[in-house]
Amino acid sequence: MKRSQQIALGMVPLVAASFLAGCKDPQRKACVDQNGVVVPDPNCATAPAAGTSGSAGTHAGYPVGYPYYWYWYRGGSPVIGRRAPGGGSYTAPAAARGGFGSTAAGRTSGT
Amino acid sequence: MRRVAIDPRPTWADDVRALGLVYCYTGDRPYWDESAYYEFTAAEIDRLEAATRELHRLCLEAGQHIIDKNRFGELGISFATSEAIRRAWDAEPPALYGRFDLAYDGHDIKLLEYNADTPTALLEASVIQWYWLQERFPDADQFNSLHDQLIAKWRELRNSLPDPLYFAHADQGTGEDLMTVTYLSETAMQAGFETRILAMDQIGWNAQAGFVDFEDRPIRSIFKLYPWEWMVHEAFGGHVLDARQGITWIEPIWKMLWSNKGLLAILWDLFPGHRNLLPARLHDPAGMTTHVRKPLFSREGANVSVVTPSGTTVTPGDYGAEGFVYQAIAPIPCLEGNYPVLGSWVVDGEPAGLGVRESHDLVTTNTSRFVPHLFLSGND
Repeated sequence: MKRSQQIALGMVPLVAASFLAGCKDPQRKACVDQNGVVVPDPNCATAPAAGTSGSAGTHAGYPVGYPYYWYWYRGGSPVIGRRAPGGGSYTAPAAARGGFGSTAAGRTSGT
Repeated sequence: MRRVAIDPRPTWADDVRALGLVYCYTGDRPYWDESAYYEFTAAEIDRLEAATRELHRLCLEAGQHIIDKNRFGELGISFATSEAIRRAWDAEPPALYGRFDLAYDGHDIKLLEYNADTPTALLEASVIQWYWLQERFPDADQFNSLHDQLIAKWRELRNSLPDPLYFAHADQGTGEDLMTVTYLSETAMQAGFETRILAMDQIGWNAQAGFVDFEDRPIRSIFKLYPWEWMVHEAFGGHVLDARQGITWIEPIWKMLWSNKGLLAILWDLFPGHRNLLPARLHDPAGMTTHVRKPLFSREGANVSVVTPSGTTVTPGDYGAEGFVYQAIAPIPCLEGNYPVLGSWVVDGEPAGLGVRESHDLVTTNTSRFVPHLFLSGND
């Protein structure tokens, strides 16, 4: 077989359109409190287990369960004490993160 | 093989972006370059396919040799990593794809290097040039069954890998790595997998659950477009080397043996004079006054020196601390000022297609251009 018979794509064009629409900034990570205000990273690194804080935050989409969350977004660098930009997503702080990816800064991963 | 100049489609940039090639420019110059195409005969394609199959066979023997003779140190691979490689080599976890970069002057086919761990230029080879062919030369053929073979491999793995199947990248803003994993994810979805895409730095580590995703769900199988030689030295590197972790990494860690440029010297040691290999030596040019010096872990042509009697040219970069391999200069033809390198793809160990990248000099870097190809059936 030398040639693919048919190539139909669904997700690739959608992701491409999203990327071209302006989502080009690399994703950033900030530790935020329930109001979406950026706090020092150790708050997330040492956060208690889920369930110790039951209140929902006021930052759009803030989940219930932790006093602090890692917040992933596209935009400028996080500033401690200021609200992070909207439209991002949260990850629970129960696991350590950032253990991969550091070598990629300024380099290309592919060959 | 000949290079044929042609007028690009007026809307080419919009056309290829709509198919996912958001990185169709490098700076202000086209990366996807359809102002020309490469034409092969069917006989040439048969020879390239046979050479690819043969090189894959040689690499299997070389991998076993490195393990049996414990030559990891020569490749800059630590003892802890070598133990993980041995385990993976014996366990044979899934390996998906790779790309041999070949020099071809119309007569000889020579291996330049093997991008076995994190090959890119996949979307353009599999999808973009296929659609280009349908529109411009529907009666011609193309060495390109990548899409079908990727889906076939995922189907084979469907019952052995649990959902969801993750795809991780570390895109630096160009969109290339993101679109590469998005495309691979789509081929897995078409084979029936539930897939999720995440960034490498979103991968979490939890002592109870092991590796987890952005919602703390355990990761059991993951494709990562991220080099093993980086992973093993980063903060979570110790966890990936731990034999107790119940996670399947694609590509497997033993691909470090093939993506290492030192493989070229080991292949030459084992098969001196082989028709598809160039003379190569580890750490010393061994009398080769004319040669190319490549860092063992270099990526996209960084820190490569071309040494000839008339002088030395060097590409920039920050690789080389781990050592170098010295390889004879390949017979890459210069066609109207362009040096083509043929990327011959392998999926599940089988030849799967061809992508041509050309540069203005002998070293293919991240500023090279991808040029589509076709071949004419019955044309010898």
